[in-house]
Amino acid sequence: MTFDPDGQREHWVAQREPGMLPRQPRMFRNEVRTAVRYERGLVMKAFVVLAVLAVIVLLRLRYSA
Amino acid sequence: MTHWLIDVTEWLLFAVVVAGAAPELAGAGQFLLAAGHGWRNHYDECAPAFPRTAVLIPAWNEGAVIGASIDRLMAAQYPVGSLRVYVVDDASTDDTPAAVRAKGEQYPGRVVHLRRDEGGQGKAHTLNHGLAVILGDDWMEALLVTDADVIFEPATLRTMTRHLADPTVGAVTCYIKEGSRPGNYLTRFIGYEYITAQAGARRGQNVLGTLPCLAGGAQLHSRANLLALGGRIDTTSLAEDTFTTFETQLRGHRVVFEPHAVCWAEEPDTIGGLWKQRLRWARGNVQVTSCYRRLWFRQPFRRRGSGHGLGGATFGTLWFCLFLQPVFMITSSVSLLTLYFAGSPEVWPAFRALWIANAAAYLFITGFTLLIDPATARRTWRQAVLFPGVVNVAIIAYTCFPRPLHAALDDLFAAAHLAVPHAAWIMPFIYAWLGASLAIAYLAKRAEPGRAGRRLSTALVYVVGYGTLLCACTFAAYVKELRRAEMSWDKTEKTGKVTIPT
Repeated sequence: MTFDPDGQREHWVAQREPGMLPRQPRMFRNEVRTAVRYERGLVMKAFVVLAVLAVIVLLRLRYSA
Repeated sequence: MTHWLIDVTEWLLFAVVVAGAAPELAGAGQFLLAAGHGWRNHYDECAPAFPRTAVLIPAWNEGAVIGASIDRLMAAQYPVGSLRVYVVDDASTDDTPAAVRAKGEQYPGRVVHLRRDEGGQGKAHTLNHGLAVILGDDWMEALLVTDADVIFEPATLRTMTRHLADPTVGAVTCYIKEGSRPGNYLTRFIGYEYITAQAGARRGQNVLGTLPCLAGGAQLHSRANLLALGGRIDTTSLAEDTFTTFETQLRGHRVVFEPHAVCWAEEPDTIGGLWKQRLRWARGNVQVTSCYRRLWFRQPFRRRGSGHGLGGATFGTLWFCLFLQPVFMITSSVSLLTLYFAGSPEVWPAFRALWIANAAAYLFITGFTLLIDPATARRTWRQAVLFPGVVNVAIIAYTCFPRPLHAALDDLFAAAHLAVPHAAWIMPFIYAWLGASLAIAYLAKRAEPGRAGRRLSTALVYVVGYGTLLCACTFAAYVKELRRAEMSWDKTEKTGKVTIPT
């Protein structure tokens, strides 16, 4: 199987030169965008867990103090 | 004067007890950092990159797994002419050479069999044999070091290489998941552990800008980085991957964890196998800690972007909290017992402070970990809940809700017409538990051989917790290093049970 979307292989050497970054192919951009979106979603997940923790603390203070 | 001395001693013991929560709190802090990975990551510097990549696989008696691993690598979404696999056969006595030669015929020019006739010196020596050949010409632009049992997903390699488009990056690692199927309770514990230690903790380390360890089973290096390392892997320790990671950063290259590049590995399904593997890792960490003793905390207030952070206060704190976890456990227990038998009123507040901090960290880490990788979480959530062990979870519940639990216990004993146990009997046990659980974890390892022993050891692991088992390994590593025990490379047995979930 050959996998060389948009002839990216040819850019490898060029990318090592400063200021010569090639135009990023669509597939790559989509993947990075999806990855960043997932990563940014992690902060919401952390907040959800912290919120649950806060509720447990409140219940503890309210009913078992 | 005497009262003053007693007060100071009491407060010192109180502080030591509460310090026992440091490893859990440091872990929670690392996970808080991970939550910021959406903003502090390396994606802005990424670009599509397909360097000519040599995959280096050290192999000793890997006939059961090597063929499938090569097939998966050959199916990678990567330019055919830019990927070669070099298997360094470390004097295997099984059918590894035949399996690799067969793959060489199946993929002409893309699979290379290198044979060491005198093997058994360890992974680093095997890797160096391959490195000498690969660096012998200038074809290779990047090198992926992996293990014979590791199965790569099709997109993994190209997802990793895109980070090498940034010339400041020397090495990239990916998310290794436990892939044995059907697996057992221990592999599920490991599956959960790998979310915490990799998908969670390494994201936090990306945010920090400093990684302690590139996973030995999946580390991608640029050629420039390998040359900067002298073209050789350290052979003096059992943690060649950690040494490589430290040296990469000390020589000015960045290391990056790519959480969206995934590969699957077979992990031990017995406590004996796990113990051998983790003892090797833990001894390696002792060696790293000693070797870099002039590095720790020497640059406490590094500005982000100004070189490596290995000498930083945050990295040092995270490293030592994990490295010294058995010490924290033992000193907490000893201090609690001292306060208790001295009749100090501080014993209960100290105990509660310790366990409330542990409880908060445990709930946060467990909840967040399960949300980071929901697919693995669905398979391992029971092991996640019981990661600290049944007794520790019970202590957490008791500390957080003492009155309702007291009442429930009273009712339970009354219903069973039993005398309610006196606190004087229970509390010393609870105070001693953290330290004593290390010894019980060791018993789990000793009890395993034999059929009945296996059931007993499984029960003991659930009682003390998988985390405690790992701490017992770390403690055993201290002892081995203090006794300067021989460094033997006890390879983990692989049987080819890895399957990628569809």
